Amino acid sequence: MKKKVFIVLLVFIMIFSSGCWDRVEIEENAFVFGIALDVNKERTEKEDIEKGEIKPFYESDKGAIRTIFTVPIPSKMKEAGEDAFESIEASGENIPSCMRVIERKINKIIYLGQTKMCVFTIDMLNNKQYFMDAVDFLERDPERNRNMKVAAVNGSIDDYIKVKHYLDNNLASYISGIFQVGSKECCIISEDLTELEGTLRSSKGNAVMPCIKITDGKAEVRDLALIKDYEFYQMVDQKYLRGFSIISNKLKKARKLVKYDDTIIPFYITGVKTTVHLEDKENLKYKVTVKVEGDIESFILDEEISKEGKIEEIKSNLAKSLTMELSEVMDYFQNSIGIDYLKIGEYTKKYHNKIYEKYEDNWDEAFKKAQFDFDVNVEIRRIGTIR
Amino acid sequence: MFSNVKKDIMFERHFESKTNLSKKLDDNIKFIKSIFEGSNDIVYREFKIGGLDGRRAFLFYVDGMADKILLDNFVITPLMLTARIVKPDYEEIKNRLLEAAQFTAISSSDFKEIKTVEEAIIAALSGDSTLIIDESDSAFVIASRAWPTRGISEPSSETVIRGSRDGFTETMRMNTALVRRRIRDPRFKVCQKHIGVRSKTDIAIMYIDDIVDKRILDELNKRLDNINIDSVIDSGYIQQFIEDRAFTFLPEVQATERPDTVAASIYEGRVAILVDNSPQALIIPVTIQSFLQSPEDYYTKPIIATFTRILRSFAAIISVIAPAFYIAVTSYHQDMIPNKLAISIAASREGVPFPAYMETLIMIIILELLLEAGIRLPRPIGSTIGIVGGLIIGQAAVSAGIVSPIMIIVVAFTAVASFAIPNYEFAASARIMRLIFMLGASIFGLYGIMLVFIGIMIHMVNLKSFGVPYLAPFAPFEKEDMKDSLFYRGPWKSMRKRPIQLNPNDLIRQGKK
Amino acid sequence: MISDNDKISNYQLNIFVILTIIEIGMAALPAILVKEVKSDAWILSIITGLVNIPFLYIVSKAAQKTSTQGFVGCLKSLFGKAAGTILAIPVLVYFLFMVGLESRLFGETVKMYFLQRTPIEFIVMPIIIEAVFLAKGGIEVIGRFFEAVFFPIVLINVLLILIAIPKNDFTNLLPVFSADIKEYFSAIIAGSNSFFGYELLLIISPYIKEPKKMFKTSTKALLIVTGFYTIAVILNLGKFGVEETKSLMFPVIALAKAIDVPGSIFERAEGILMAVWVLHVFTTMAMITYLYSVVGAEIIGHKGIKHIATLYIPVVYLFGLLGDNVAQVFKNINMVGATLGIYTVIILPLLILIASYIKNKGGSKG
Repeated sequence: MKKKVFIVLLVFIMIFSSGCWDRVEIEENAFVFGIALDVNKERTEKEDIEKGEIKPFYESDKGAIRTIFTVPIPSKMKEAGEDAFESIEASGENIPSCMRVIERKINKIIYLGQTKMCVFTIDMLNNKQYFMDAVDFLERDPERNRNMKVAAVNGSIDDYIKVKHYLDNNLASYISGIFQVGSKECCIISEDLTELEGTLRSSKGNAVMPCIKITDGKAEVRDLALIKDYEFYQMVDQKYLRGFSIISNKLKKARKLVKYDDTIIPFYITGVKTTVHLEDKENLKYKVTVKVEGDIESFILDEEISKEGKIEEIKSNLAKSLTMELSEVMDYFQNSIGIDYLKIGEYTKKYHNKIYEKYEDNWDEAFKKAQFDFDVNVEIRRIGTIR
Repeated sequence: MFSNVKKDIMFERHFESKTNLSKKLDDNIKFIKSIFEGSNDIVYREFKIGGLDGRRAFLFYVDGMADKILLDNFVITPLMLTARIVKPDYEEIKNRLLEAAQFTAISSSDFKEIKTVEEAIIAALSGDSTLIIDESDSAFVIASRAWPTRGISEPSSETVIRGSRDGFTETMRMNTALVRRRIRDPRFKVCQKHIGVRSKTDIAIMYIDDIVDKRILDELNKRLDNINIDSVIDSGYIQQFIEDRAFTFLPEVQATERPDTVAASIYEGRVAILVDNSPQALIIPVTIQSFLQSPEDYYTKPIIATFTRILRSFAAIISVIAPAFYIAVTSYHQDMIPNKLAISIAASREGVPFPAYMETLIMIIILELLLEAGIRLPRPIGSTIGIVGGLIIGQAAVSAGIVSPIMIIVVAFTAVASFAIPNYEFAASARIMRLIFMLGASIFGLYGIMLVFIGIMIHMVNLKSFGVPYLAPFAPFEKEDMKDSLFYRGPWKSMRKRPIQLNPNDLIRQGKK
Repeated sequence: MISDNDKISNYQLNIFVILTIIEIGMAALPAILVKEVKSDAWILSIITGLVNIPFLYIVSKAAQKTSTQGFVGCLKSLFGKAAGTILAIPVLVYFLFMVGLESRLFGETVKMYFLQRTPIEFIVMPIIIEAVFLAKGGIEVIGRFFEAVFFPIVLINVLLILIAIPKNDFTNLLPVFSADIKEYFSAIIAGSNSFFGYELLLIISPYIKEPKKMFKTSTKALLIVTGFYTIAVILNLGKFGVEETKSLMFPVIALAKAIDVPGSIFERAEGILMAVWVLHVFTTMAMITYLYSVVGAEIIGHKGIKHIATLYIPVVYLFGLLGDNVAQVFKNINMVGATLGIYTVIILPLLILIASYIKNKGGSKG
């Protein structure tokens, strides 16, 4: 009995004298909702401090990158006012050193576990080393949220911060909300941090990132930023994105306009299924079969759509238009861009590994020379409540 | 003759000494009166059987515990009056007076012949009365117990919607009758003992002879015989003596006030113990299931019963873990809650001076105080204080900025869930477990909760109640027993066998038609 | 009263083997396999499981021999007192290392994902002490504990698997058979460490009710474990693809982190995963603690295993503190598994079988 009491006492003393190291009260945490990364333009000369012998200090006030954390103020969030969140800025060599600077300025602990958005400016993407540093940090830290969305900002970061976030009380939820809703309703590519890392690793530095364009203080998600070899390569125009999503089988819903009898009719695509087949193994000829189904959203008021042949005509018009669109998109990617972002290479590797191994080292060349045939099949499912 | 009998010997536990009655009535009377010296509530009545020249007789009982009307009309009257009037005469019978009195005169039905003074005294102190007749060394104990009792009413702590509403009272004989009515099987035995050296409390051990596992009975009898305390005031005393392990917060004996629960347990192969002066019966052996089941589960449809059981188990788990979980998630793992909730919790906690675990501790202490106080207050005020106290104190605490509103919700949730536990003792254990979980959570967060969970599981797994593991039927896994377990109640048609965990001798309870 | 108090039924044996084999090393298994054979990792996990079946056969046959006298007793009678004791000592050391390294590895994962600032000693100490508490009760108590926690573990594991299935790109599992045979072998060797655990049969065989059915029951258990590992590898590949899985340290935990269940209370499933993982790790540790206390007690000739278990707590703790960081701990585990592990699981049972065969032959002839 005495021994038991002794052990229990010992345990209690150990526990209470050592304290709880990890306990952080929830209000001591500054929940970072959005991270914005940019290159520090104030740093004019390239200091190249990483080269040469070991130096005692590597921190400098004029850091290489600028980081802006958007942090909500919990008590003000309830009132949903304009200044419910604060933007905290710092500059440093990489994100952790920025965090160190910030921790001297605010009274809370930076917490990345709830981050929703992480944006990079195009300048940042242009700088290979900073981009790689940032992605590695985000990947390595076990605390941060893996479902964070990433995007590139076409514009300066100060404009990004000042964007009007209507319909939501802070910028990060606003933008990530656009992604969430948009990836379901219209053809916006939404990219998680996980997907970004995955693609970067599996294709040795190639990835895509959606882009946010800022005009007049308003943000719009359009275009796609292509990354090659961990560096920014090119911007893809919005019009190619629908085809891009269809070919990579990521499209959920989108709208396409089609011509019918001198009017333009909107067609709402509700489902797409794309399969790629390698037809000719020697010459890399692919056949892409696309099955589309959707609804007609509006038609000519005084004509009946369910009359004979009208739906058929619309269908064939759509199929023609879509085939041409896809061919043009593929052309664009093959010739103007020249790099396989459409995951054709992955498909080949999975299903025809031997052939892929032949071209493995220079897949992009093979991709450029490959031929694609499109077979589009459109079904119109619903036409609304009017005949 | 009794001068050399020491008074202490009379009160050893096993009546090893037996002082025989003397044939001389005066000796007996003097001895008995000397034992009871100082008490004025013992009534002594001397009379003569068969006229002025008849045999002397002596009756004594305790005033207030014996039924005077019965004694007057059916013992004294026949012996005094009727014996004189009706043939045969005293003169004819005087050699066989005892036999005559026993078989033809005394009209009370419950009646015993004894030979020792100890038994006579114990009988009187239990409410019976003793009749000693001159020139014989036996005495008669006439059962005349009658005292004011509380009527049969629904036990307040174990209410059901569906099911009988009678509950045990403080008189053991009435209680055994309530159980007997539900088990009209001659193999159902009610075996009586006296426990407590000075109190000599009656206890009844009830079981069905050909169902119960004899080893349980033997073990129980062994433990009861080992009790050497001087008084047994409530069944709780017996409970703590027969428990397997004293140093645990989990109950090892089930206490219930409902006769239908007792009867059902006896049918399953358990043993029930009734203690005089206590309305709570004890049932052994016990597993964790006994504390989370309610008799209603058996009287309603299987699907509803299963749903109710799942809900109840879920409520039990919540009432134990919820505050600890709140502490763990808000202090250690803030990334586990959705964004908006995290912000709103942070917002509501901004003005609060205490860290999360302190806040939880304060609220739980207030909750416990309210619960404890609610028991002591008279019934109408008690429940009102509970509700009013909870609401107002909670609201006031939030306005004063001592606790956050989320905390109030968590504590209210916990309190409500803890009332879903049917057994009071287990609910008390749940309160202790809740505190231990909170301690674990405030040190190590979710990892601490898991450590405490493992610790408590280790403890539970080590417990055995009279040889039956505490966690049956989960621990040694018996598929048949799972039909009537914490999460499921199979339809009655499928419950063919009694619980295997109790190792009954007669396994089949339902035959095929 | 439950009869057959100290005997382990088939069902209990099944659970023992399953829960002992699944331990924290499994969290890193997908990365280990993918590093060697890329997208064939799931085939490899099946193959490694099947490869272990012959070893399991040898172990169970040897275990049948030890069922009368206990492990060390059998060794002593086959090889003589001194040699028997010497042969048993590496087994003891192996178990001590396993408990220590296991607790250390688990502590590292807890520290990394949950309690970043807590010193690792305080994370590791409570679980070692609790393992000793459970092992003190004897095999019957351990059996009850394993049975009691088995059901919730299975339930939560199934739940996690179900949540992880959508949004998985199963085409990542192709191409099949793209790796060489040489890589297959190195993957089998690297992955086998996660499948060891069935050496417990050698030591608890005196308590088994039906020793004849030992092999069948344990095979069933091993197949279940293989299935579980394979599902984990498949889900990992599906979610992350080959390259990413290769680069993660604990892919299974990262998988739980990446699960996205829209509209649920818990956004991060890794809390649930870690809760279940504590149970997995604890069951392994408790069983191995019991094993080393039995072996230790038999070597010394002492009856009470409780004292041995308590006595070795500092040793286990110190073994756990070896290695400065996670990478070194992994290396240590591999080293111990390659030397003492192979000795205990493969070499020693073979020796027992050969020796008993020779003795039987000699006995029947003479």
